[in-house]
Amino acid sequence: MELLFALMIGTLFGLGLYMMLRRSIVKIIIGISLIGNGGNLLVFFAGNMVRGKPPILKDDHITNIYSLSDPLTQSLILTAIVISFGVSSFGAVLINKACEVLNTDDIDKLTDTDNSC
Amino acid sequence: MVQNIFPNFNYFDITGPRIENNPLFQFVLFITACTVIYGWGYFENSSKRNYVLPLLILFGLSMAGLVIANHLLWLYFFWECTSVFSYLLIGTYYEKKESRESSLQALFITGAGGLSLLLGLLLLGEHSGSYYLSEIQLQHFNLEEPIWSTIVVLLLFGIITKSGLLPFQGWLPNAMVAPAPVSGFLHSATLVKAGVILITFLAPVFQEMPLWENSILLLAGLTAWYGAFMALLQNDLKKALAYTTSATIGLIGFASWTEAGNLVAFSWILAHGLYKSASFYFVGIIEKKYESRNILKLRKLFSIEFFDKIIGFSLFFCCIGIPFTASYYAKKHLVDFYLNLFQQNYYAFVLCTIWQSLMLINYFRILVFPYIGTRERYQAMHESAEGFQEKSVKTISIWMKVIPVVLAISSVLSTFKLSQRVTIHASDVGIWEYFTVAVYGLFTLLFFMFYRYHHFVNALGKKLYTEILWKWCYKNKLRMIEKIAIMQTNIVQNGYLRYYLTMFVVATILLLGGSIYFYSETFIRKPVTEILIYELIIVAMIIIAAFMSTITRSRMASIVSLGAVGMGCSVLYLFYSAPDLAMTQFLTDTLIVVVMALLFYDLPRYSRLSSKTDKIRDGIIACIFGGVISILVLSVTDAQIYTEVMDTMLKKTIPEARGHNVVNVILADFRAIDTLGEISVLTTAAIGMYGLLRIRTKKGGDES
Repeated sequence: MELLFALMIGTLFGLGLYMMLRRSIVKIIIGISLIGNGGNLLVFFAGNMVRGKPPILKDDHITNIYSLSDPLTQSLILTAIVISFGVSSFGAVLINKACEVLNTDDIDKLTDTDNSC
Repeated sequence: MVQNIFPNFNYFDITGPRIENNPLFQFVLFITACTVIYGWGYFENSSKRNYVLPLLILFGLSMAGLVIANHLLWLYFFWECTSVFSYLLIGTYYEKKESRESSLQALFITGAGGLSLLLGLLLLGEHSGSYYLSEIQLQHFNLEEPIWSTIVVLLLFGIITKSGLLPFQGWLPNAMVAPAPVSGFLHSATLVKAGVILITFLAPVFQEMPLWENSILLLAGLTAWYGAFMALLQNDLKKALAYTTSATIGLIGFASWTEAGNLVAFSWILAHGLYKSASFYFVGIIEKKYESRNILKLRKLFSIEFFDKIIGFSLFFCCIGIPFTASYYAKKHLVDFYLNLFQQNYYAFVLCTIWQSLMLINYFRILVFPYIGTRERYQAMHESAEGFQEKSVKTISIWMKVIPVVLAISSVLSTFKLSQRVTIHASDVGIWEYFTVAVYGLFTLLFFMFYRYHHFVNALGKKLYTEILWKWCYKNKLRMIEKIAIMQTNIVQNGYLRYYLTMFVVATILLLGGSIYFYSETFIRKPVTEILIYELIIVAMIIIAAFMSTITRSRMASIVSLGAVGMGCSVLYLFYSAPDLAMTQFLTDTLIVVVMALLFYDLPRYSRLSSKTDKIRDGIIACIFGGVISILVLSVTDAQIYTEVMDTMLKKTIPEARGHNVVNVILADFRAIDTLGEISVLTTAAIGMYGLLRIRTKKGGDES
């Protein structure tokens, strides 16, 4: 499974970068989202990944806390997901408005605040 | 991690034992107080008062911090503080180009030195096993190891730039564009002493090292002679004073490299600080009153007030070290030191005598010469047909008059402290007396010789300065650096976002790939988990969806594929026991797909913007990047560290937070402040979105 995960995360990063190198601003934000997902998975992967043992404690008596999956990375990723949601949606609105004004989504033409086309 | 980098780092212990009975600390605070009072008078009726005085106080405090700092990194912190404040202070008259250039030069040179010093201090801290100066001074190291030579070279570079020793002396005279309080305080009493003070701090560690000894002796000795000669060539009172400062710093450096010379160095630092700042403040008075600080012009003025003459005379005597002034004892220490160092080598002694005589001439030219001698004044009066233009003497604040007197008096009073440490041996007395007499005799002789060639020498000095030192040594180098910077910026940062990104990614690939290549022998150490078929399907779905979102020509399709990637991640989180993540990802991804679909619906179609070669190039970079990340992922599988943090959180979840879901407890309880920050980020984004959506754009001209 590790090899598959590595391949998947690598693909997400690679494709995200490819999209970020495009000139269309919509593609750039899609690329950022892809890399964001890849980054979250990367952090998740670095923690203790186990199947079916969520970090939920049953009672006061803890038998083996190390068999649980890593709660620290999970809370980090949770924050990251929420923040990237905020960033992407704000970016989407901004792009929408910018494209409305400028009639283009080519970042090379986004050099002015007025409609240049 | 931080512990690994700085094993001996303690953030809060700044001074340690160094604050107790530290004469330098008291000295710095005293001079700061004097300077602020003087500056209050100097900037009377000037808008610069509110700019300079707070900076002077801040500078004084950082200098005081520097002399008491025990921790190496605090030392560095205060060191850089002094650089920054001196930059701001030299540029007091920032309206003038000259002022800006000089302050930039000072920042440039001391800043470069500061970087080198930081590296040196870090290496010193790491290799000595302690970041505390007081502990380092007591240890003995095997200085034969090559690392110590590196440390010494790095530290010395920082020291010589700050103290203006050769070959980095250039910024010191140029810094004289600053007003008198700044010059007197920074560039004679305190800032330039920082370097030699650091030499004395480190002397116990390195004194047995030939590299340390020889380089300091050479550079400091050259600077001493250079300053003494260059001062002779200057007609500007402040520049001449600056060069004498340079010379004295050289002398102090000459003595301070060994622990035995510490007493000499400290007494010179104190004595010189007092009389030199007093001289600067005196020159400031002259400049204010007679609106000139040119020696030749001042000699043609008819009306020099009696007060100024008296002050000039007494300061001259403070400078040359007549008995019962601080510099008298400083010189006595110096002679003792030389006798021990050179073991009755009288050549060194003769050189020292000549140097002292040169310095005497300099002080005479600055503090006495312009205000005496009526012959030239009468000549000037007769030459001008309209009669001598009697310039009205400007009145100055009483605070300005007081401070040089106070400093001169304290120069006398401080002898009580210095003289206690002098032990006079019977044999030394004879030498000392001979020395003094020789110095005074030589002074008289040299002065009359010099006086004949006065004008010639000054013209030479001016040419030497503007042609060689300023233009060739500094300006050309600066221009070269600028050219390189422009070239490099044009290549790396040409204004297109994607090129920046490409550069960034290429650097990441090289650094990351390189370090993985060199430091990671085996990749997978964790027992490999078996492949489950439903997970395989999810992973394949994510990969396909990601490709879809990239290659599709329809915007909607790529947004939906992006949503599919997110959903896939969410399911993976669910499989690998992270229900909270799965929920959140599911929620945000649904929302983001809806938001994007709504907002991007009526945008223009994707157009073909990139050429084929661009696409291939980007594709290759992206492939390599993805590959490196894959290898990184494989090599972090064994990075699962059970940190102390995680341990504490797991154990405290039930007893302290009364929760069962550890992730929720971390977010809402242990790291509640962070979550608050997160909420405020989201709120800000929401407010921003609302504001943006409310803007009605001009479309089709139906809006005004």
